Amino acid sequence: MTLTLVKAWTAAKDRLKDAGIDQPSIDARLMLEVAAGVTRTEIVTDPYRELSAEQIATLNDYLERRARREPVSHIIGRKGFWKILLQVNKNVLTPRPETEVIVDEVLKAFPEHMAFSMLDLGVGSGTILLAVLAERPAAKGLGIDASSEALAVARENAANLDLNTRAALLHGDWTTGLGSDSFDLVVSNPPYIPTEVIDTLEPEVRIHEPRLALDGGPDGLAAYRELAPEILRVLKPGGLFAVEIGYDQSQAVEALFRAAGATEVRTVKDLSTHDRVVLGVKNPLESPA
Amino acid sequence: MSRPLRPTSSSPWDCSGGVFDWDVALRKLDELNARVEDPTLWDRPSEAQAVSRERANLAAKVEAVQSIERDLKDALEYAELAEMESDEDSLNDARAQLKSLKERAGRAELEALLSGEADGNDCYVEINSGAGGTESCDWAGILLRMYTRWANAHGMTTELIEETDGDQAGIKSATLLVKGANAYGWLKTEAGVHRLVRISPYDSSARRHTSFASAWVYPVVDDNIEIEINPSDVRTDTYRASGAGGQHINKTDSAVRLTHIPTGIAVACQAGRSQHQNREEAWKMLRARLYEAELQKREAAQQALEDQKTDIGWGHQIRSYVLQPYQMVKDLRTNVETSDTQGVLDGDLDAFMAASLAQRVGHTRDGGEAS
Repeated sequence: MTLTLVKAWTAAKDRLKDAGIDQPSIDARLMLEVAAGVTRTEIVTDPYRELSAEQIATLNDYLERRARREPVSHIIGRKGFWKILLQVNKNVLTPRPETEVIVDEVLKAFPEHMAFSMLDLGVGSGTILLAVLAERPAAKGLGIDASSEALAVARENAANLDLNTRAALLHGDWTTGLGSDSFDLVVSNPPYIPTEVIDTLEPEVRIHEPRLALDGGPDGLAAYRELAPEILRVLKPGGLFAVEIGYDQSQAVEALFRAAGATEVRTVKDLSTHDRVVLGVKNPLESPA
Repeated sequence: MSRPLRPTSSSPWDCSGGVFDWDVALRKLDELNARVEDPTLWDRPSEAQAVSRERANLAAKVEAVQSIERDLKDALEYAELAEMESDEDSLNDARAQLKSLKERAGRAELEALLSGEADGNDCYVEINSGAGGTESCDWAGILLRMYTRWANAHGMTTELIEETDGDQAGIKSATLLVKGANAYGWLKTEAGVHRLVRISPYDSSARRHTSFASAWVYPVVDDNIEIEINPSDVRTDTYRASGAGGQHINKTDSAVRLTHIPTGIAVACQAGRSQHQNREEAWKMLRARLYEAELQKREAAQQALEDQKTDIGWGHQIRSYVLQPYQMVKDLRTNVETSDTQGVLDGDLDAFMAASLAQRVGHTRDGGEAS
C-alpha cells in the first residue's frame, strides 16, 4: 500500500484526534516531519510524495506512543527553546515556553559583551543556562542538578551547542558546597506544583515527566523556602536572581525572598499574562567586610 | 501606528520612478565601493550592512547591463561574420542569441524598474481559500505550491510561517515567507483573487466547479523603512492562555497571535520552534502588514489623482485558470494568456508578472509622479 505525505498527515491527525489529543494537527505534522525526513513546506507543496515502508513504520510507532499520551518532545527527542534546540528525554522536564521569560529578563539585564558568572539551580536539560550562554559570549555558568540522568542530557546539549567550555555541570543538592558571594546571576525553575495537584494533570506531565522536577511539596513552595536564603547567600552583592513560579505563587514567593533580604523584588508575567517569574537583587550595601 | 512612514535614507533614484541614470549609477557605485572599504564603517554594523547591501544591489544591476552589452557585441560580430560567409546555420545561431538577449534585456529593464522602496525586500505571501469548502481549500493549496515553485525556480527560499489546513485536503489559509532579491517587487503583482474552473476530483458526479482563493503580498520591513508601533496598541495571545501554564502543561503548541487594536490587523505565527521565535516573527509580520496597509493607502490616493479606474489593487479578480472544458490561464488585467495550464501551476508565472509590472509602471509614468 502506498501512502502520500498528505494522506499520512490527514490519517495521523484523525488518529490523534480519536485518541483525544488536543491540537492533533500540529502534533501529527511534527511527527510526520521527523518520520519522513521532510520539512513543513514540503508536506504542503509536495503532497503526493510517497513514504517508504520504513517511514510508515516509524510514523505508526510515533502515533501509537502519542496516542498513549507520551509527549511529542519525548517521541521526537527534541524541543525548541528561545533560540536553541535541546535534546530531551523522560529524565528531564521538557522546556516550556513560559520559561523563556527568565531568559528575556536576564538578557535585558546583562549587555551582550558583559562578562558575568551565572548559576542555574536544577538545570535539567540545560534550558535556561544554555539559552543565556548562547547569547552572552563572555559569560560562564554552573548548572547543578540532583539527577545524574538529567545532567547527562545537559552535558550532551552543552556539547551540541559548543558551550561545554563555558558551562560546568555538577551533581549536587541545590547550593550545598558553594561559596558565598560567588555569582552575578542565579536562575532557577524549581519544582513548584503542589504534590496533590500533580495527579490531576494531563498524562503527558503526570505519567511521563520526572516528579523530581515537578513536586513542590504540600503547598508547592518547599523549594523556594530552601532556595531563597541560599540564593541570597551565593549571590554577589548587587547580583540578580530570577526564579520561575506557578501562576498563583507570586505573593508567597516574593515574601520569601524579601524575608531573605532581597531588594527590588518584583514579578513578571508570561505572554499568556500569568504571573511567571520573580526577580530581585541582593542588596549591594550588605557586602561583607 | 503613530507616525507616517518614511524611508530613512533616500538617494535620488530611490524615488525616480525607475529612471536608471547610467552615469549617476556608476558614480554611486564607486562611492559605495569606497565606503565599504572604509574600515571604520564596520564599527556600525547595521549601517555597514545597509551600505553593503545597496552596493551589492547596484553592482548586480550594473553588471547585468554590462554583460548584456558584451554579449550583444559578440552576437553582432558573429552575425556579421556569418553573413559575410553566407553560413545559414551560424546566422540562425546568431538570430537565436539575439532573441534571447532581447528577452534578457527586457527582464533586466523590468528589474531596474523595481525601484519602490520595498521592491527589493523579502515578502510574505498570504493565501486564503474562498467559500466552497474542500474544493477551494485544494485550490489554495495549489496556489501555495505554485508560488513555492516559482520562488525556488528564481533562486529564492521559502518558509511556511503559518497554515490552517483544510478538513479533507489543501489549506484554509497559509502564509509563506519568500526570501530573495526583489521578492516583493515581483510577487506584489500577484495580489488579488484567483479563479479556478475544473472538474473537481472531490465531486463524485464529476461536475465542473468554480473556486476562488486570494493571495495577499506584503513586504518584510527592513531597517531602511521606519515604522513605529506602540506596544500598548498590540494584544498578544497564545494558545496556552487557558489553564495554569508553566510546569503544569506539556504541549507542543507555541504559536503566538498579535492583534493591532487600532486597525484590527491580526497576525499569527507557529513556524518557530519556540514561543520566542514565533513572537519575533509575528512582530515582523505585523510590521509588514501595517506597512503594506500604508502603501495601499498611498497607492489609492495616487490612483484617485490619476482618475483612472484601477484593476491592480488586491481584492479584485486578477486571473482565471480554466482546466476544463478547455485549458487556458488568462490574466484579466493584462489579457496575457496561455494554454499551458500545467506549466503555470508549476510556477511559470514570469510572463504574467512582467506584463502586470509593465502595466503598473506605465500607470505610474502616465501619472507623472511616482510615489
